[in-house]
Amino acid sequence: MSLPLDVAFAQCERHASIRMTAFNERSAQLTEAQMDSPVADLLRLLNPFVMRFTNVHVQQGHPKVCNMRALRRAGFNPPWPTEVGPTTRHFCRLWALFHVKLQDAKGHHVLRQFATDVLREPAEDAAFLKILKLLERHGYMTAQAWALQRSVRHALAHALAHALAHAFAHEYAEYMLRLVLVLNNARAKAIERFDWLFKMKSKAFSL
Amino acid sequence: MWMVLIGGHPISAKIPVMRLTPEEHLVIREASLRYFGVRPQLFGSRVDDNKRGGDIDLYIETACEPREAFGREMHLAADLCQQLGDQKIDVVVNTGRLNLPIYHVAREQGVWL
Repeated sequence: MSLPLDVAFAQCERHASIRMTAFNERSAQLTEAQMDSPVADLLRLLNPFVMRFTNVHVQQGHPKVCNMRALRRAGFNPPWPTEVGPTTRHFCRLWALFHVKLQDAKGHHVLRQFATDVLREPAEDAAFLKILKLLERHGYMTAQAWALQRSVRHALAHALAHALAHAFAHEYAEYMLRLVLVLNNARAKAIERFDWLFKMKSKAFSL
Repeated sequence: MWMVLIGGHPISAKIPVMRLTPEEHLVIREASLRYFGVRPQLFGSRVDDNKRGGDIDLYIETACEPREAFGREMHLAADLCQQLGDQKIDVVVNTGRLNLPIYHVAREQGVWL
């Protein structure tokens, strides 16, 4: 992926805004009681966290979406699985992980571009950890904080995949506490990411 | 399968298969001890000698309450990500409140680190 920094920032900002809007539609801290709802309500509640991103990518014609289209052609029928089985579970997992991987890829791209174009550091071919250390030295974020963001993103993908796959089997109550914990953490991390983006963008456009 | 000598007689002993480097083994064990106070078990494809690559699947049992366990799990995963590089690491933490199928699989296949 090779995008000019302003375009990459704009894409990140769009993601961040959508996610923040999704979080703001819910109370500050989700509770298990909010998740203990009939399947239709549960899906409505989870919708902003998965579907919106997928729709955005479809509209943008992102290459990864080809996989989604290929899945549709192969007989899967998003947006929601309608039966429980290995296929549904696999699809849910793919769906959630696809989103996480896309976020990771975008994050890597923006941070590398920012380090080279704005901070004027020799980071074109640097290992990603080195880029994180550079940003840490310049006071934008820490490598530990980035790793925590990544952990929560992955946990979110898995928790959503499990919740979606099990919602139709009436087993979802078992996963609700986990999902609540992940979503509440993801909200805090989204705010932190928004703050990073704002700081980097301010610096980039002040030059 | 390794041949070992016990009392001068060769016997075959099943050595647990584990596709981790000694360094990875140590890093994972130390991190688990640091955050949960227990050794983790490795399960999944990394205990199958016939496979290549694959995620590092870890199973940890703890008496922590779920919220506390979740926080520790996130820090453990973040630490491992930093120390082991860009590897796919999945941590399954059993706080004893649920009885999920994955726990049975992990206990069955698990190799203590």
